[in-house]
Amino acid sequence: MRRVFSLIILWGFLSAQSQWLGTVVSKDGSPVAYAVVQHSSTGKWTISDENGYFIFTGVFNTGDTITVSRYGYCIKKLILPVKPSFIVQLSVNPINLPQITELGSRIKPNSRQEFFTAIKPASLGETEYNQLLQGIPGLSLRSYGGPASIKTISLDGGPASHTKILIQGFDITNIQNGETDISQLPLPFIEQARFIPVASGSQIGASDGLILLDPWSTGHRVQLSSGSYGHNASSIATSIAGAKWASRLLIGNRNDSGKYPVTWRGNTFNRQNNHFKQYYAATQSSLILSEQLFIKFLALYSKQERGVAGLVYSPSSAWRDDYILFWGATSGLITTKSRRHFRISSRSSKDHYHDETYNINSTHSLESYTLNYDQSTDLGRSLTVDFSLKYSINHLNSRDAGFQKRNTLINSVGVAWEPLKSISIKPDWQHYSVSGQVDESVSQITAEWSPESLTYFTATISTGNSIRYPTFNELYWVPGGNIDLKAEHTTNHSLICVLAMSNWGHLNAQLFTKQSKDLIQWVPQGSYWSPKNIKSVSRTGWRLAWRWVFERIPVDGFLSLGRVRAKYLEPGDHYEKQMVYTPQRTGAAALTWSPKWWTLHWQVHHTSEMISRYSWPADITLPGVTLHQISVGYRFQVFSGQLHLVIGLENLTDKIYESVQGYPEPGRTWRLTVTYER
Amino acid sequence: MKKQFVVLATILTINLLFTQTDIYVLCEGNFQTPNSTLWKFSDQLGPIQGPVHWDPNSNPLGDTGQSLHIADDHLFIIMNNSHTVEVVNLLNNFEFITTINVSGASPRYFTTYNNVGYLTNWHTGGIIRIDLSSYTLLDPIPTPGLMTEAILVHAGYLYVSSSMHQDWSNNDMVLKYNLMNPLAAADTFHVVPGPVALLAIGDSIFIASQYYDANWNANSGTSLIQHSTGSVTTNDYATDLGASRLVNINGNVYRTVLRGIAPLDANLAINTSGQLGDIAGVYSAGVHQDYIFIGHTTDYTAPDTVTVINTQGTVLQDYTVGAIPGFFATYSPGSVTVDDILQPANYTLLKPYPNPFNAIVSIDFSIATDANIDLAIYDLKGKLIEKLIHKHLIRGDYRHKWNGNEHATGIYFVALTIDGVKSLAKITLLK
Repeated sequence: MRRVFSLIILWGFLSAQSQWLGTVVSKDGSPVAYAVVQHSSTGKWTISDENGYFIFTGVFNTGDTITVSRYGYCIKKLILPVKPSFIVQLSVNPINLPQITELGSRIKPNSRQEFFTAIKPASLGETEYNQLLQGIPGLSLRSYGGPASIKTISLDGGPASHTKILIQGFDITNIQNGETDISQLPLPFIEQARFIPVASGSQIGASDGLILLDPWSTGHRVQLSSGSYGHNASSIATSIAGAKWASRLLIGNRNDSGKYPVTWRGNTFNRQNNHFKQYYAATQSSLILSEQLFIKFLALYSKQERGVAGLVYSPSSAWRDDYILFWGATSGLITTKSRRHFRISSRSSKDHYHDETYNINSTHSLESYTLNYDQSTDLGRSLTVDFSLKYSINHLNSRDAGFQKRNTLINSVGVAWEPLKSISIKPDWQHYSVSGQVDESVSQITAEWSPESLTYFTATISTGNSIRYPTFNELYWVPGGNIDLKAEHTTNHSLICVLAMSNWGHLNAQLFTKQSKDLIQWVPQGSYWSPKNIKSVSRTGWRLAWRWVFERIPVDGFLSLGRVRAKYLEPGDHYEKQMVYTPQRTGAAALTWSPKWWTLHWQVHHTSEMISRYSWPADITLPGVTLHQISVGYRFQVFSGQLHLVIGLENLTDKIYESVQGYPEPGRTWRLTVTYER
Repeated sequence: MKKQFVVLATILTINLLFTQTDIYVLCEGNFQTPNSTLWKFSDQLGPIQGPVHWDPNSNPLGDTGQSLHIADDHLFIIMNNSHTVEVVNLLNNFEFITTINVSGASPRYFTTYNNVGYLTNWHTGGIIRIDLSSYTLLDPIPTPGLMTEAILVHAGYLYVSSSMHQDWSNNDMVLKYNLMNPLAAADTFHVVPGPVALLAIGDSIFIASQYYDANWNANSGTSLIQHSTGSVTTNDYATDLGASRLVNINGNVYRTVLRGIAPLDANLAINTSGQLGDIAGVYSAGVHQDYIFIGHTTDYTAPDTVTVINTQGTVLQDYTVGAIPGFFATYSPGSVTVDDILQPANYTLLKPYPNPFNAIVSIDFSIATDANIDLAIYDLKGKLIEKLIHKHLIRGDYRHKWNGNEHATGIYFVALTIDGVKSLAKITLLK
């Protein structure tokens, strides 16, 4: 078997420096899961996830050291770099070798990991999800306007159900509608988001990729914010830790009146019934039982009370109360030849919707339990076998979709083979079984090329297919549910190239095609809407993300661009038109300048015009929009910690825009955030 | 019968006077989308124009265009889910007049009587009344617990259907109000559940119904109320016939069925052998003389189609329009909707004399029941020259003399409106 290398790639905003973001990988670019990363002088530590990714938070100084240890690998000791971005290569021989300390040198990048990482450091204050996520190329956040709206993520114009949202590896999808409402996730709960465009393994149905959300990593933090349209929020995070265990706790609340001005047919008035109240508590714990065994635990409870403002021209008096209770535990076991983990999780939620006007008083209770076993075994001879087993039990008790139950079993097997040092090939097979209703296999093959002569370049080509079985709502909602729906099948082809340039940051580029057959889409059907299978939809496009950190100038940032041609291929009047709610172009850029104690941040996001409804003689469109955000932050030492004062302005130019037609978003919004952390 | 003949003769006179009638088509658009559109074509079946005035992208008409009503040369467009009534003066080159906001009401259908508009709706628990001089809201007619739907004026009475209660459960009621005292229902009738369309022919009030069972399966039916006796006949088909619209073709009632329109027999059963049209996705129907307009859609997405057929069922024209063509109204300058013209005759406007005249003309008319009367003179462009009478009159024969001495030589029209129903006569002033 190959000699083991470990690589640590660190990037981000090291100059300010309370947060480290990194990935632990081996020589061939494979992630090294469950490595312990520890700050030597304070003893603070964290564990990398199954993708080798970690966030490390603390007040560190240049010259401090951190160690990275992992059973089967040599211990790596790093001196915090002068340069804000660096890569370190470890020596070979995992056993009985002395600890090695060195500064990094350039090594080949890894293209199987995150295409883009959206970061939310404390120096930017409390920011909404649109600002956090819009750097992901091809991503659109669909919202019904303002704080009270549910919010879902669409990638490349696909349905929200095509993107899986994972928190620490746990799938939090609402299986009633196949979507994840990220408004249920409190802003301080999520620290950053990573985008993986090509999902594999047991993530069946994620044909548009994965969004990995990382929960907060701070030790102690108090955050207060206040802003436009009656926004007030507070949160407290604290942590305790021993040599082998650590726990964190986060509690908080948020309150928005949401009465922002909107305009309809020349009349301007305030949005009403758009209030949003949120209460939440979350905890994380890690326990290292031995060098080879650890346990991680994550739990979140959040409760929302919201008005339903309705369409701008048809205000609603409805309201919605909902909560989500989620917990998950991961146990990891590491040997010299394998790593395996076992996960158990539970997701329960309840949604109570009340609309007196339409005499609707409905509740939807959902319970999901998941068992997940993953194993990666080194067979030698450049072969690694990954095996995954995932079993889910889902119960729904809904006024509108009835009492439903679905058990899902997903098996997946993948074999990674390195016929040459520069080439890795990995075929995956997945078998998907749903309570006797579906019994189907899908597959994927990935080939990675990392030429030894171009150590800063990697290219990965992949092709595969995926399946998405209709959700409870799509099958059983009354009225409109369609029990004759067929499962969607999507075929993906992708080429990803990564350039890791030490002085110019990382540049990722992807070309992709996706062909979906029997795409499920809700369409008008007389007096109600009903899902139907669209014969075919093809999406072809590219995306690019460049995140840079300059050596001499304290200005870092990113540029991301996405373009997709999404053809609606249902025979009829609209054949080959661009899919609805699919902008052809998206783009974002950001600059963060951190001179000493200050942080100045500017971000821009553009979404091109998109069709909201096919029509005649012209389609109904939402115009393109360019939104600017700026923030100014100042930090100073207080009581052995840091106090951040940040004032931010979103939608700086006060644009009127909608992500869903009829539901305008707020105009210019200010927010003041005060954060103390240590 | 004689009076009906006189009204029909009046219609023929109108057609002779005006060479063109415009047919307006309101495309409903998709619920919760501001893509309703208005279209227009002439009875010459020339090219269709549209979207008229409004445009979904730059100046949206609104969400869910429910119905149209034309009265006194004004077009009223009822927008269900943007909760407005748009008012346009058709005489003055489609001059937009105003938007009447009825916030949250979900308005459905509209009619006028004595310069007051009556608007049914789902959510106010009453029939909204609108002063058409100022376009302000008057005290509503209370209908506690009821959603109101179709509405028509007939012989001094207002007929209003209620297809649902305000808790959205099915209802089967038709309410009858005396327009002299409209605040309380004069009578209530129980018909096939889900009465959604009304049509008066002679003494008969026909009601088309559509209702849903607990599993959202649709059912259709037709009912008949005799205006004079109050007797009710019902026929519940217990099956889905699609849209529920009624039209009057030469004094016979037709109802929309799945692929066209079909006459009803004496028992209100569908006479399938008389069906006109063979079109998928029939959604609406309208009539102007021998032209029958059928709006249809199969995917509820624009473009959709209006097909014009004749009384033999021959397809004369297909027009491409916006999403879900749901309502028709016809207009000639100084004229009124087809449905209004075909109201039963309970009055007579006799031929003015002398004609031509200089400078005084006598205008004779008679009314069979007490009624609100408007008598006015218009010029050829439809401009109001003079209002002669605007009052409530008891039944009887009347004569009014108009002195045209202050007016120029030319052709004028006498317009007599009785209980919202208008009739015209041409007069020529010579000096």
